Amino acid sequence: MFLQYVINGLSIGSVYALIAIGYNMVYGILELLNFAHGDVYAVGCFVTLALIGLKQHVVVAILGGMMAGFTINLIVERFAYRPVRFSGRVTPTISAVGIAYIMRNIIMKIWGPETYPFNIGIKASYFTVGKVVFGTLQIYILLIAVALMIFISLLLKRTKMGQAVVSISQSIPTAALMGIPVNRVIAMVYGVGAALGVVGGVLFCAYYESIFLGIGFMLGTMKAWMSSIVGGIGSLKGAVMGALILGLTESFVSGYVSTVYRDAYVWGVFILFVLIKPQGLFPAQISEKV
Amino acid sequence: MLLEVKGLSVKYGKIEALKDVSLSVKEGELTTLLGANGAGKTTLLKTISGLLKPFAGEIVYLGRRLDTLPTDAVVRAGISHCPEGRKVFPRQTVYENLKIGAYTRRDGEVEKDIEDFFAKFPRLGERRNQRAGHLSGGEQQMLVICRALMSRPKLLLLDEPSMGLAPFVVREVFALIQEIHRQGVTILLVEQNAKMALKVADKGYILEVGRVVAEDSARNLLASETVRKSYLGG
Repeated sequence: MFLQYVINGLSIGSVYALIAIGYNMVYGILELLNFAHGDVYAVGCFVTLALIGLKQHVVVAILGGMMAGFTINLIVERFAYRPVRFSGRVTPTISAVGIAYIMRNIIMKIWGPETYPFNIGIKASYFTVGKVVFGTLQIYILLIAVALMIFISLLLKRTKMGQAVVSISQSIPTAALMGIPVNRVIAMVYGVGAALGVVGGVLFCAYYESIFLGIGFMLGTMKAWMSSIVGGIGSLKGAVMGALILGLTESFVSGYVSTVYRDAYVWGVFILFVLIKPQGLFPAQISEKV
Repeated sequence: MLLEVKGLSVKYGKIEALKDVSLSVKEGELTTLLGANGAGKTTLLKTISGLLKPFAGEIVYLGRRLDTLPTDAVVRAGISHCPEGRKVFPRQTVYENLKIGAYTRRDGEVEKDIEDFFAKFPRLGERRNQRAGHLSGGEQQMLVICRALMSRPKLLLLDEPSMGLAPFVVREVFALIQEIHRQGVTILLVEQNAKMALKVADKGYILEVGRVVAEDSARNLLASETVRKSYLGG
């Protein structure tokens, strides 16, 4: 059974990782707890649902959802975050909560509070290796998530834009002095973060074969936040490792302790972890030698 | 004049950090800006590079108003500001630090320039794939000056490049500044080490609590009795 829990934990963890990447990057750059992250990408997921409903190919539908998430976050960044960027830490957070409510109400207005079946056209078949059961969908989710994470890490390491993001996350003024158009790049990080969130959200909904209003905040923002805290703020590695640990913890708790009280136990573990290691496992090293 | 600052006032909230400051930097010259802590030297550099916006006055560079531009446009116009405190990007490698310094460039000679710096400073070359945060203070200072040059600026703003460095490293930094100057880059140098700065400079300004109190050729300032008493330690 142990191996089965590991597989389950890793596949849900890799979905959390996609959701956490955008969240953690923004946190690393602006120290903003982006409470709107989940609800913004939830809109993108519903757009994907609508496009699937319109008989679009699933890839087109997901790309459409990503575009929606990307665009919304560009607008939100420009009008809700940038004006309050230097107003301390509380104001932008409140602004983000406001955006979260607006997004949730948009979903409420268009799609209502119902739970819809969600199917990205991958038949849920299973095969077994030894005693471990693999779902085809699970494998797809894992592959897509891992491929996207590798893609993003290459983007950050190898492209000019990616390196600009890494510089900005260490010091905004110094990055500006390199001639980096800081505002534009930060807006891009928001946009790409939301687009990745949409993929994570779509995979999450596919995993549970359903979608509803709550996926944004409960399943998105909170998981992304926990992953980032556990993994360490401000780095890609932190987001991914934190998310995998979160997925594994959930899987083990469901398997060995309790399914019903899973979240309560996981939160208990989380609080204990924060008390012991508040900086996370892989904090971005920002200490400068003097 | 390459750069002209006219009647510049800058405020932090209600505190006026610069009061009606005017100065000019001639193309090809090394101009130094001296003054005690809190005189407004760093504020002036930050305002030139667009990190701070002036309350009044203007900054003209090559006949163009600069004070309305964002920092990235200032860099593209040919001004590179090397801030105080050795602001390397600690999590990026030495190589990546240099490369990001060339962010505004579109030509194909970036790699060549990086290799030239590595040839000139073998200690940086040996550490090209190490994180910049792991370098010594002197190495970091060399790195940030090289990084500031990677944009191939016309005008280099240097803020306290000798701060907190051992005397032999300070000499090395000043040798580098003189070499950059000889290569034709115009420099505006902010320094606490007034003596060394005046020795390499063509012209100097002295700031006191946000005002220019003296301006003259570096030679005259070095010889002046009042300057000697206040800034050169007797």
